[in-house]
Amino acid sequence: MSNAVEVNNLVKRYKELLALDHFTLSIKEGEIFGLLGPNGSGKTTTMNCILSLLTYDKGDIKIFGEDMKPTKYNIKRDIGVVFQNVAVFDELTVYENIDYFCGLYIKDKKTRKEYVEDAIRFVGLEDYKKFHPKKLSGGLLRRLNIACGIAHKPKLIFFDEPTVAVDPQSRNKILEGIQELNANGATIVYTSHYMEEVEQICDRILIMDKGKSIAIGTNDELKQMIKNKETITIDVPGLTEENLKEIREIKHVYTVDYNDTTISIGFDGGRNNIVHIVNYLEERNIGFSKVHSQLPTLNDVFLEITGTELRD
Amino acid sequence: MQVFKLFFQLLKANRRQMIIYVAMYIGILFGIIIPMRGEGSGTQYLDQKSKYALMDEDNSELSKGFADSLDALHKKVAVSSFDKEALQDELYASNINSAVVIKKGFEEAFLRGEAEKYLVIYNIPTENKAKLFVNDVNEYLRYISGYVKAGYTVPEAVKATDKIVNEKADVTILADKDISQESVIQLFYNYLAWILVLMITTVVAPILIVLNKKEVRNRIECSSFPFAKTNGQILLGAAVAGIGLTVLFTIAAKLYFGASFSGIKVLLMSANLLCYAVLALSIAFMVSKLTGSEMVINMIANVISLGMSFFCGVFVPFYLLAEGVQNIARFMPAYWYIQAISEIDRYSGDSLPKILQCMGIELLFAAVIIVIGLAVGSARRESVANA
Amino acid sequence: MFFHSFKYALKSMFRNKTALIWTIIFPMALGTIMFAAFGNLYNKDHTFHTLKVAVVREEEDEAFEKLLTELSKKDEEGEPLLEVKYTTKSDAEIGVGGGDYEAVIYEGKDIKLGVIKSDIQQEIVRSIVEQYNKSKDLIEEVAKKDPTKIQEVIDTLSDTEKEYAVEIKTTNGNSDMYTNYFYAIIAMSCMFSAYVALEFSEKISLAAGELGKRRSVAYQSKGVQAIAQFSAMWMCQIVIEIVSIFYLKGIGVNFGDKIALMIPVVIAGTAVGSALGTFLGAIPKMSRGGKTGLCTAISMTMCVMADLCAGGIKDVVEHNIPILNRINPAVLISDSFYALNVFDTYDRYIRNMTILGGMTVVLLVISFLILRREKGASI
Repeated sequence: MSNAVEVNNLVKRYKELLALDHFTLSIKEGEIFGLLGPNGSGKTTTMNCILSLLTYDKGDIKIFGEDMKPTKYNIKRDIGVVFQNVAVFDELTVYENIDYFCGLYIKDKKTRKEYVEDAIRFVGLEDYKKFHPKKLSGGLLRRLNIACGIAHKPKLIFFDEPTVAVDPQSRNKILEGIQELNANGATIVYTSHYMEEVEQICDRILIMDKGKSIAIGTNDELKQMIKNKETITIDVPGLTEENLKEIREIKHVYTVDYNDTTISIGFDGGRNNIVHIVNYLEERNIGFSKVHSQLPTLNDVFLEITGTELRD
Repeated sequence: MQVFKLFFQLLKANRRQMIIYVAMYIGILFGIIIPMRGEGSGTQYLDQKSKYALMDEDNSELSKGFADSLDALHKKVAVSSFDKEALQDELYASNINSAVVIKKGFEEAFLRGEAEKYLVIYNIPTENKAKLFVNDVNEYLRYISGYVKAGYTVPEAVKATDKIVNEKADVTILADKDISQESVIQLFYNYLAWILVLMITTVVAPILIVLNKKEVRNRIECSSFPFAKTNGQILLGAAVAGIGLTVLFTIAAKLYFGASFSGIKVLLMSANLLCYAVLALSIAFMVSKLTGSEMVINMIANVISLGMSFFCGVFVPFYLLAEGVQNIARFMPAYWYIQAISEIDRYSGDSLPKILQCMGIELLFAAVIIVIGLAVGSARRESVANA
Repeated sequence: MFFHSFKYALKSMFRNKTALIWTIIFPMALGTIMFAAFGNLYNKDHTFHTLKVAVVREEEDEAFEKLLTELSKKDEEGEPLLEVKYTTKSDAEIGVGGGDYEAVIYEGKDIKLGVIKSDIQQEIVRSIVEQYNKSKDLIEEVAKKDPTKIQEVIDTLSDTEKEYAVEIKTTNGNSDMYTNYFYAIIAMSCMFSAYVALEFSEKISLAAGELGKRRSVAYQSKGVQAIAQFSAMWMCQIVIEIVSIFYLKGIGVNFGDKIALMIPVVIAGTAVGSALGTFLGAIPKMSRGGKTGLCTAISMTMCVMADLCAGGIKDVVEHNIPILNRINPAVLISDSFYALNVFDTYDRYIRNMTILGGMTVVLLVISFLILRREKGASI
C-alpha cells in the first residue's frame, strides 16, 4: 500500500520556539491515522505545514507521492479539511455554505447538487438546510463544519480536533461518520488530545510532544511498548507495611502505591492478576471493596515515555 | 476600576489605528488646510485680484488707458495664444481667470456706444473671480463714458478716470483691535468640528462595540459588577479619552501658533473643545449602538461630520448659506461650537456669558444624544432577543 | 467556478443588510446635505441677506440717501439689499459692536465707513460706498466743467446694467463652482469602496482565520476566488454610484449634459477604490485596525486634496507638484467630471481614465500575487 502522506525531517521555528523538531511521519492510504499529543505539541502546526498553509524551515512533504506546494491544485482537489474552529459564512444558510465550499472543488452543477445532498444526509442536517449558522447549536455547527470540509468526497481528509466542545450525541455521530468515510475509501488524519477517541477509531497512532515524534504504532503496539500491562486498584483500608511487602512479591507486580485507603498495583504481565490479589486479601481476612482493573491507556504510554501526563 | 481599565486596554490595542488617524488629521490640518486658507479665508469670495490675459489690437488711447487700469487692479499673465482652445486650457488650468481681447476699432465703437461689439472677455462666467473682473471692466468704462458724455476728450477722460477709479473708502475700525476675517486660529478650531467627530467616532465606537458584544456584556453583567458601575466606568473612560485628545490638539495649536495664542483665549478654546469632544463621544456612543461593522461606522461618522460641517459653516462661510439652512444649522451642535469659537476669538469680557451658553448647549446635545443611544441600544437588544 | 464564487460573494454582500444600506445611503446622504447647504447658491448671482446698516447724518447728502432708498427696495427675488436705520453716532457704534448693524455709514462730504470686522458683509457695504464716492467725485468734476451735461452723466453712471463687453463662455456645460463639491463627494464615495473591498478581501486571506484557511486549501485557486469576489463587489459599487448620480441629478444638481459619460468614470473610480481596499486587505502581517486606519488615512487625504472641504487645494498642487494630482485617484475622478462638463475635447478625460485603469490593474495584480502565494510564516 502506498503512502498518502510522507513527511520527512520537518523543522519549523516560530522565532525562538522550535515547533517541529525534525519531525517525520508517513500515513498509509486507506488508514485512519491519529496524531495525538498535549496542547502545544505541534499537531496543528504539522497539519498546517502539510496543507501548505504554513512555511517551514527544513524538510519535505509529499502527498500521494508528489511534493506538496500551495499551487498544487491537482493535489488540493483530493484533500478535505475540517478545522478546529468553525469556518462558515454567517450570511449563508446551511445548504448554501456546503454548496459554496463544495463548489470550490466540483464544477459540474448536477454532481455538486448530489454531493451536497449526500453531505447533508451524512451529517444529519436535513432538518436544518435553510438555517443560518447563528441559529445552530454548537454540535450542529460542528456538523456543518464537517459537511463543508468533506462534501466534495476527498480522498484524504484532515480532522483537527473536531469534537472539542461537542455534546456526546454529536460526538458519537462524528466518530461514526469518520469511520464511514474511511470505509468508503478515504484516508483520515485525525488530530486530537482526547486519547479515548483516538484509541477508538484510529488504525495507527503517532504520539508527539514538543515537536517530536514520541511513539508510533497501532493501539496494541503502543501499549506493548510500556512496562505497565494492567493496573488494579482496590479500596482497602488498614494495610500494614508487612502486607505491602508481601503484595510486592506477588508475581508480575512491579509497582505498588498505597494512600491508606486505596491501593494501586501495576502488573508487567501475567493473567488473572485480580484473582491473585483477591485471594491474598481473603486469605488474610482483609476487608476490601471496589476492585477495579484497568488496561494501560495511551496516557500511560505517554506518561512512561515522557514523564508527564497526556492531558494537562 | 476594571471596566475603566478595560476601556483603555482596548484603546491601547487599537493604538496603531489611533496614531494613524491623529497623525493624518494633524497633517491635513497643518499641511494642507491652514496654509491654503489661512490668508484671509473669509474674503476668498471677494478676493479682488484675479489673473487675466490681454490682447490689445486697437492700440488707442482708450485701450491703453483701459489696459493700464486693469493692470493696476489685477495680475496680467502672458499666454501662448489667444485661440479658443488655448484659452480654454489656460482657464481650465486656472492660469488665468479671464482673457480680454480688445479688437481693432474699439475706441471708435466705444464713442459710438457700441463698445461691446469690440471688447471680448473669455471666461467661465459663474466663477466668482470672473464676475468681479467683469464688474471692474464695466465700472472703468462707465466712468470713461460719463466723462466723455460731459465733453471730455478720450485722453482727458482716461486721465480723470485714473484719478478716481482707485479711490478707497475711508474705513475706521471701531473695535479695540482689528478683528479681520476669520483668524487662522479660528480656522483651526473650526476644522476641528469636522475632524474631532470623525476621529472620535471611528476610534471609540469600535471599542464600545466590543464592550457591547453580547458575550462580553453577558459576562460582565452576570458578574458581581453592578450594571450602573459598568456604564459609568465606560463613560469615564470615554471622558478621559476626550480630555486626552483635547489636550493633544491644544498643545498642537499652542506649538503652531505660539505667542499669538495665549492667555484666556487658550483656556476658553480648550474648554469649548472639551465640550465638543464630549459631544463627539456621545455621537460615538450612539453610533456604536446602531451597528457592529467598522465600515458602517466610518460611513455614518463621515455623513454626520461632513454634514454638520457643511451646514454650520466650516467649509463654506456661514453667511453664504441660505436662511433655511442657517435655521437648520442652529439645531446642530457644531453650530454652537463654532459660534463659541467666533466669540472667543474676538474675546471681550462681556461675551463670556454667551460663550458659556454655547458650551452648555453643546453639553445638552451630548446628553440628548446619549439618551437616544441608550434607547436605540435597548430597542435593538429587545428585537434580537425576540427574534 | 468563477461564477460560483461570484454568485456567493454577491449573496454574502446582499445579506449583510446594514452594510449594504449604508453603502447606498452614504453618497446620497452626503449629496443631499450638500445640496441643501449649497442649493440656494446655484441660482442666485449674489447671495445676500439683507444688510443692516446704520447711517449717521453728519451732513445730509440727498443723492446718497436716494441711493440708499433704492437699495432698500425689494428686488425681483423679494429681498432688499440694505436695511437702513438713521441714528446717532453713539447708538450706531454701539449697535455695530453688538452685531445689530454690519457697518456704520457716516453721511457727509465724503461718505465714510465704520466697522468692527471686515467680512463679506462689510466688503459689500464698502463697495457700495466706494462706487458712490467715485461717482459723486466724477459728477462734481463734470459739474464744474459743464453743468448742462450733469443729467446725461448721471444717467450714464446710473445705468449699471449696461455691459461694455461681451462675455464669451468657454464652456457649454455648467461650471458652477459648487458643482465641484459634488464631484468630490462622488469621488469620495468611489474611494469608499475601498472599505467594502477591505472587509471582503480579508475574508479570503489567511488573516481571516479558519475561513481563510479553508479557502486557501481549496482546489479553486485563491487568485480566481479573489477575482470573483472583487468582481462582485465592484459591480455592486458601480450600481450604487450610478444610482447616486441620478439621485443627485434628480434633486437638482446640474452635472451638465454629458451624464452618460460620467458612468465610465465611476466604473473606473470604483475599480480603483476596490483595488485599493483589496490591496490593503491582502497585506500580510498587519492588524485589522492598522489596515482600516491606513485605508481611512489614504482615502481621506486624497479626498481633501480633491477639494472636498476647502476649494483651491487642487489648483495649488497643480501649479506646484502636478504629479501628485496625476496619481491621486480622487482628483482624477473629480477632474474627469469637471473636464466632461467644461470642455469639448476629451483629452483630459481619456488621460485620467487611463491612469485610473492603470492604477487598478497594478494594485490588483500585486494583491492577487500576494494572496495566491500566501503562506503564513505563522498563522
